[in-house]
Order: sequence, then C-alpha cells, then structure tokens
Amino acid sequence: MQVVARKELRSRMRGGRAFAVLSVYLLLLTCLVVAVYAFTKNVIGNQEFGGPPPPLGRILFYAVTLVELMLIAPLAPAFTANSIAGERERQTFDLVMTTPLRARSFVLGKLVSGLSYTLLLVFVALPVQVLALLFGGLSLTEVLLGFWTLIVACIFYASSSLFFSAVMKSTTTASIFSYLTVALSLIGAVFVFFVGIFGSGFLGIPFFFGGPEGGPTATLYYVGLLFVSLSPVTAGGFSAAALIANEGAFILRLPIERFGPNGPIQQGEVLLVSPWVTYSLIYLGLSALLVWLSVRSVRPTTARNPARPTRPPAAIIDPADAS
Amino acid sequence: MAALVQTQGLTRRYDDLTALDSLNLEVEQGSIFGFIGPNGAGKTTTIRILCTLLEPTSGEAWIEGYSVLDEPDAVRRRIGYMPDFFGVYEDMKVWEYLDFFAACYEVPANRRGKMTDDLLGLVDLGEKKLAYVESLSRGMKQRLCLARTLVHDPSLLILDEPASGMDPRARVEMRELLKELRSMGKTIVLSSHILSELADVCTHIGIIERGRLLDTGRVEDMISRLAVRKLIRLRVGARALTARQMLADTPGVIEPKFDGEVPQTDEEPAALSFGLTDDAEDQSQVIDRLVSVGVPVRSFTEEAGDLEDVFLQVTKGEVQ
Ligand SMILES: Nc1ncnc2c1ncn2[C@@H]1O[C@H](COP(=O)(O)OP(=O)(O)O)[C@@H](O)[C@H]1O
Ligand SMILES: [Mg+2]
Repeated sequence: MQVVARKELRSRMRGGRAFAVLSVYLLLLTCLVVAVYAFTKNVIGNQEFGGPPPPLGRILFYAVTLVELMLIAPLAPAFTANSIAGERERQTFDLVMTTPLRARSFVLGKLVSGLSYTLLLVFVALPVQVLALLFGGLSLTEVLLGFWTLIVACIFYASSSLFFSAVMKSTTTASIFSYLTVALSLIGAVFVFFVGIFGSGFLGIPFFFGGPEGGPTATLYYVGLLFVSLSPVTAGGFSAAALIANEGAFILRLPIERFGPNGPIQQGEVLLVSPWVTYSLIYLGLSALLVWLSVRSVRPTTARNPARPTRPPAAIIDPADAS
Repeated sequence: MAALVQTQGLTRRYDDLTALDSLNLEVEQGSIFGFIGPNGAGKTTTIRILCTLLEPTSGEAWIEGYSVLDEPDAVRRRIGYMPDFFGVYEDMKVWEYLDFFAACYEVPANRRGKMTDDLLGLVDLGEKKLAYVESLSRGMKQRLCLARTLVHDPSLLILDEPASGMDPRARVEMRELLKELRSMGKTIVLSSHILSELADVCTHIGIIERGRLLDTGRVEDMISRLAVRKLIRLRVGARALTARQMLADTPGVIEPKFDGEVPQTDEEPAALSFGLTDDAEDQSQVIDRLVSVGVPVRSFTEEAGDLEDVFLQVTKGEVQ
C-alpha cells in the first residue's frame, strides 16, 4: 500500500498545482471570514432583525464549515475518480496487475493518496475554525462535530469516487458518477431538509406536517432522523442545532405532543441518537463497502485453487503432430 | 530440455468467437520463441493468459511448472511482460519508475539502486536516469518498459509485438538486446505479425492462425522439414521473354519474374527467378522445356529455403 501511495503522492505534490489549489482554497476561506466578520458587525450587530444576535464566533464557524464542505465536495472526486480508470485509460494498469502487488494494496494506496490531500484541506482550515472559538459563543463540542462531519464526508466522497474509478472503463464516466454522488449527497440535503422538518420539533420550528392531532409521532421522528442522516449538511446542521438547544451530543430527547385548546400538550418523550451518529454509521459503512467492492473488481483474474495447484504432465505434446 | 512454458488445450472464447482454440504449446528453457501469426490470430490472447491477465475458457497453462490459474503470484514473479500497447507514468522520473515497479515486485530497497543503474545501462538510458519519463522519445519509453520487465530478474520475458512501430535501426538494436538477454539466461517469448521482424533472432517459432497453432518447432528443423518450395534462379543469354512466358505456362512454377532489368526485346540476356512447388515436374524437365523452345540457359541454380518459405508453406500464403 505504501508503495502505491508514495508514488501517487510524489506525483501529486510535485509541481505547483497542489500548492496552488491549497493557496486558492485558503484565500477563499480567509475572504469568507473577513466578509462574515464585517457583515455581522455592521448588519446583525445593529440589531435590525430584532432579538439578540447569535454570537459572532458561532456564525463564523458555521459559515466557514459549510463553505469548506462546498469547496471540498467538488475537489474530493477529482483526486480519486481518475485513479484506477486513469490507469486503464493510459494503459498502465496491466503492467501493475502483472506484478504480485495485492489488489488491496493497490486500491488502498489510491484511496490513501487521494484522501490525504482532501484531509489536508480540512486540516489546514482547522486554525480558522479554532479561531472562531476565540470570538466566543461557540463550544468546543460544536467545533469537533463540524470537523468530524467534514472528515466523514471526505472519506465517503473519496471511497465512492474510487469505486466508480474501479468499475468504470473511462475516467469520464467515473467522474460523472462521482460528481452525481457528491451532488446528490449535498443537493439532496435541500430535499432532506423538508422531509426532515418532521423531526424538527426540538428546534421549536412550527410543524409543516403533522398527524391529525397536530404533533409528530415517534415513527415520524425515526423516519426524519434517517433522512436527516443522509446528508452531511443536514446531519451536521441538526446535530449542531440540538447542541445549541442544550440537547446531548449523542442522545436527543424529543417530545411527543398533541395540540390542545391551550397549546401543545406533551404526551411523552422519544429518545433518538444525534443525527451525526447515524450519518457517520451510514457514510462510513457505505465507504467500507465501496472500497471492498473496488478491491474485488480490480484484479482481472483470481487464483482458482491455490491450495491444490495443477502440475504439468511430463510431456504434453509431440511437436510433430501439433499441426 | 526442460519446457519453461507449457499449455494444454488452452481455449478462449468471446461469445461466438473462438479466439484461441485448444492451444498446446511448449517453450524450451533458454530459447527465443517467436509467436507468429496475422492480426487477430490469438497471440495477444495467449500472452495475456500466460501473464495472468485473462482467464482461459478452458485448458491449462504452466510457467516453470507453476499453474497460471492456481498460482498466479508465483507466475507473476517469474515473468517480465511487455504489452503490445502500453503507457508509462509520465509524471515520474525514470529511476523512480523502475524503483516503483521493483517495489511492487518486492525487491528489497537496498538492492534497487544498483539494479536500476544496471538496467538503465543495459537499455542505454543511463543518462536519462534523472529525466522525467514524459521527456523520453517513443523508442526510449519502449526501452524503459523493457528495462521494467527485468526489475525482478524473471526467468521468462514475454514481449507482445516488441518490434512493431520501431524504425529499422531501433529494430536492429532490439535484436541485439534480445540476444544479450538470452545470453544472460533468459527465455524469451515474443510475438509478431510480420515474420521478417524476428526471423533472425528466434531459435524456435510457433505459427498461429485463427486461434490454432499450425506448427511449432526449432527454426532449422522446420526449414528442412517444410521448405519444399524451392527458389530457382535462372540466367539466359537471350529469348528471356519467351522463357518467362513458357515458365508461366508450366504447372508447379510459382511467380516467375525478372531479377533486375526487364528486357525490352527477346534478344537481350536476363536473370529470372521462380518458385517450384513440391508437386512440380523434375527440375531437369523444366530445363528441357526451356531448351526445346530455344532458350540459351547459362545457369540454373536452386537456393536454400528459409523461414519465409516455411511460413508460406504452413499458412498456404494466407498469412502476410
Ligand atoms: N475483449 C475481446 N472481446 C471480444 N473479442 C476479442 C477480445 N479480445 C480479442 N478479441 C478477438 O480475439 C481474436 C484474437 O485477438 P488477439 O489475441 O488480440 O490477436 P493477435 O494478438 O494475434 O492480433 C481477434 O479476433 C479479436 O478480435
Ligand atoms: Mg496482438
């Protein structure tokens, strides 16, 4: 694995391109911080919107984390979608496959090299996120949650792109499928948001949908949790909102209510895991599955019966009657 | 002699097409085996099976006694493979390229440095060690790929169409290199769809067509066994046009033609050559017929057959 990863990283980090991407990325994040800072100070700071403004640190942190995700999402597939299909396309694949290199080493090497650059992007932005802590109003748990959500997303984007790269013949189709997957996971969040609103009672958001009695049922909470967990945006967002609402980092207590004549009447409680937990399980589980499938699909042949190999007969043919 | 490569009933089908049909092949240790046949004959299919890149529909193959199907890793360690079409990692340095493959073959790190230098020297790329692969010419990349096949010191080299697309000078160099590798104890299997590319380096050949092995054996043996089409060279003092006409009408005579200048009148002297098949009349009868129409025969000589003749004979002229 190290052999492939070392080779890939050496090629990738060579020349100015990797450095240029990193610089542009950091520049964009810095601009964002400045813009958010100025905006918050001048607009929200004036209390035009009424009510106490959210703390500056918190605004800064969530803005940076969301933009980070939006920047990483298109970059992550670019680092792995080419990796195996590219070797096929450039006809270097067979040469590697005739060596005793394990398919697992080959695939994991590609994954590690693609993922390490994406993770580098997450790590270099960490100081910006920690900086937000200094502005106050933000808890360390929130920072860790945001950071973790990003890392899980990176792993999934890299693994799914790797998978398409392993099973598709051309880099073009591999890229298309990779970007579709990433887009679905992000844009799907908008859709998920509306469905997930079912389970949002704890946010105090008025119910858009409800049972005949008005309140959400336990089943609705479970379905909502599942949908929210399908996207890093909603999973991270809802988990963070729960933290802000003084719910636990791992377990949420949600009320089951019914609208009475004098407002909602609490009928009971349902315990849910925080969406980031289910999100991590789904995304990491899928990643593991996709990597495993990639490993299985790269080797063109498999050893038939290594334990009991056939041996050649002493003399197979008489060359004279071969024709 | 021990057989380094053995196949038994090797067959590969693609849907309806039988690309390879019950191939029984043996390659002796220390030989240079030329695998010859037209495009689409099944050479690459055979080679890819031997290199563990393709599974046969049925049949078995062994390299140094290791089963290609059961023990692919043992086979991979014994084979150096150069495909007919291949790419190189453009964004690496030449030495890194060899070092990477050596690592894939689990060559210990402390041996790789010297080995890389030796191999680059062998293929005449010593000065390019620190250059990027993308800066190499096509021929250099081909030589680099040949060096790559040697990083793990395999006993068998399998080269698919190694001379295709090479200019004549590069081809000569390639032949020298192959001879040198053979003297280093390597067994070499190479394929070609053009006989003349390889004829003079091969010790053995196998002729394949439409997935079937038509004939195989030592080059000398096949020539003496099969070179029944004799080449006759004829010199006449005059009446060359008459002679040519008469030869064209004689059964068993193939392609009578003028060597050198075509005479303008029937009075000029000329040189002719033609082939004579097995079932042609006795040579003396051909001479008799020439004399009977008044052709002054100055010389009538038979040339020894060569590989080209074997090839034409075995494939009945269907193969290039
Ligand atoms: N992947 C494939 N799918 C279908 N047919 C194939 C495939 N590969 C090779 N063939 C067919 O098998 C036959 C043998 O091909 P090949 O072994 O490449 O011949 P050669 O190397 O002697 O030119 C050809 O008719 C070719 O079209
Ligand atoms: Mg071929």
